[in-house]
Amino acid sequence: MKPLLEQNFYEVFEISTGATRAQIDQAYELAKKTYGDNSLAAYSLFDSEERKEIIRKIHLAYETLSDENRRSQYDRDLLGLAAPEKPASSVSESVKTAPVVAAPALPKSTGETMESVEIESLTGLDLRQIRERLGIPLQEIANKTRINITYFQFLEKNQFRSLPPSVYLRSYVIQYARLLGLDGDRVADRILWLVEQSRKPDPI
Amino acid sequence: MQLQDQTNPSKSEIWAVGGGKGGTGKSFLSANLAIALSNQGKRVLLIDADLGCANLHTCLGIDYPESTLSDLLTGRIKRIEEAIVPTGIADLGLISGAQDILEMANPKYAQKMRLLKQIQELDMEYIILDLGAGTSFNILDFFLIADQGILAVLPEPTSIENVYRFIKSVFYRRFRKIAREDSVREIIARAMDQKNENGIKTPYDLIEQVARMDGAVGEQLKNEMYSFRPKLVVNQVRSKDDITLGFSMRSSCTKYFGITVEYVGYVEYDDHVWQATKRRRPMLTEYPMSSSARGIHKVADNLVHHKQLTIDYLVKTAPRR
Ligand SMILES: Nc1ncnc2c1ncn2[C@@H]1O[C@H](COP(=O)(O)OP(=O)(O)OP(=O)(O)O)[C@@H](O)[C@H]1O
Ligand SMILES: [Mg+2]
Repeated sequence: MKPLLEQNFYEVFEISTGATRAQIDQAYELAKKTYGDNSLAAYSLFDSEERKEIIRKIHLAYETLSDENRRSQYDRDLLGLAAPEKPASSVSESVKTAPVVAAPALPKSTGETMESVEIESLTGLDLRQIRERLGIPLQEIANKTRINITYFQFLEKNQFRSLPPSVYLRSYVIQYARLLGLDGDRVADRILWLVEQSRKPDPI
Repeated sequence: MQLQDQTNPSKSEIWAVGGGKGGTGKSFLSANLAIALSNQGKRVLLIDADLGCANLHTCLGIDYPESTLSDLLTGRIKRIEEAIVPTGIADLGLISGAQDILEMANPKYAQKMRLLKQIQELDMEYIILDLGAGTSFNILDFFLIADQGILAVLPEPTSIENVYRFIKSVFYRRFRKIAREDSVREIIARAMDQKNENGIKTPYDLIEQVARMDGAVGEQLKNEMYSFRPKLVVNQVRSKDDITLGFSMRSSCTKYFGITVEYVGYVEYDDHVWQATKRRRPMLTEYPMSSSARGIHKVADNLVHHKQLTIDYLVKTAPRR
């Protein structure tokens, strides 16, 4: 298993990619119970912030997996799974031609589009949020870029001091940002600036 | 996390029952699972590995035997067969443990391994170890040696916390055995400390940190995590929520520890258990049709066939009142 940060929606629910709708609903109910406020099972392992984070991720996963169209798109685009049997009419043109993890794949209903992200004020936390909105597991980015996943984890947690030297980092960030459909150069400029700030000696 | 080689197909399978807190039903489960197996015609050996606090013989209604596990560990007796006492139940033998602290053996790791190896060579199909309470090295080592490590938990906060602490102790014990480098050991020891300052919160963080220091060791630790699959039994269940707890604990362990816990079943709270206990008789022989007996059989069946409960089970079982 992988840390929550890297889990895809199926892993979040601990179900197989072939799970039925009923199984997804059951897993959703169980997960809400398990990480909710009155849970006996989770409180001693996760503090309330962490549980909120898990719950957030659970809702996010359910939004996609409970919607047949979004789920099959997710399966195809992100997990590379063969599309399940379904009438051709339900597969829209944009879905068929959607490039892997491109911004247009974002459902309009979330009210959040790429344009609304202000790159000038963006931090690692925003990157993570964008990535999760897109439902892209961090592991997948690591696999595609062949870059050590821990760097992306640091990046998404704003742990800038743990990141590699800027010469390498720039290219890492560019590749990462492009996979999220963002302007790689501009995101890299912003992140490198943040890294530079963090490396300045603390004022006494 | 099995340590022994898998080459001998006739080798008996070892189950160890632990779980941290006292009184969660470890002895109850050990004795009754053993009886359930022997009822199926399996050759079973029950071992009271609760060194210093042995009481399995009482659960089975037999007197404290002359020779015990401690005598084997101290070398007072040489042949294992001498320590096995009949239980009055067909195909079920018992090796008792030491009854008080003074008699308690404190065996070295190699000694325990040697003894278990010998025990495994006996003509048995299943060997069940009742580990007793706590997280002492003896208990952790026996749990690690077992083919199936079974955790007995009660549906209450203290017991759950103890099970988690037990899991953590078990694999940090294992990690320390793998990691030979002092620097890596240091990290592991520090990770055990709740308030460590390295930001090591979960076993994931620990493994990541170790991997950065020593890639090969990091890889090994990851493999250990994958192969460590403790089995969970919720005992003294009184409601549907108590049954659900097993699923919730399984999920929490996956998300926190990154390990797979298998939920093999639950046993209802049942007055027949203490009625049997009072008469120094095992529940399963006294009340074979009771609700707790049903639970025991289901758990035994899942363990034998490497199955576990699935969530749709919750839908299928009507709420019990
Ligand atoms: N399902 C059950 N229903 C009712 N009573 C039970 C049940 N399981 C166990 N008990 C009772 O709980 C008590 C503790 O059980 P047991 O001695 O098996 O726990 P233990 O984990 O072995 O304790 P220790 O840590 O002291 O060895 C016993 O009196 C037993 O009869
Ligand atoms: Mg006991």
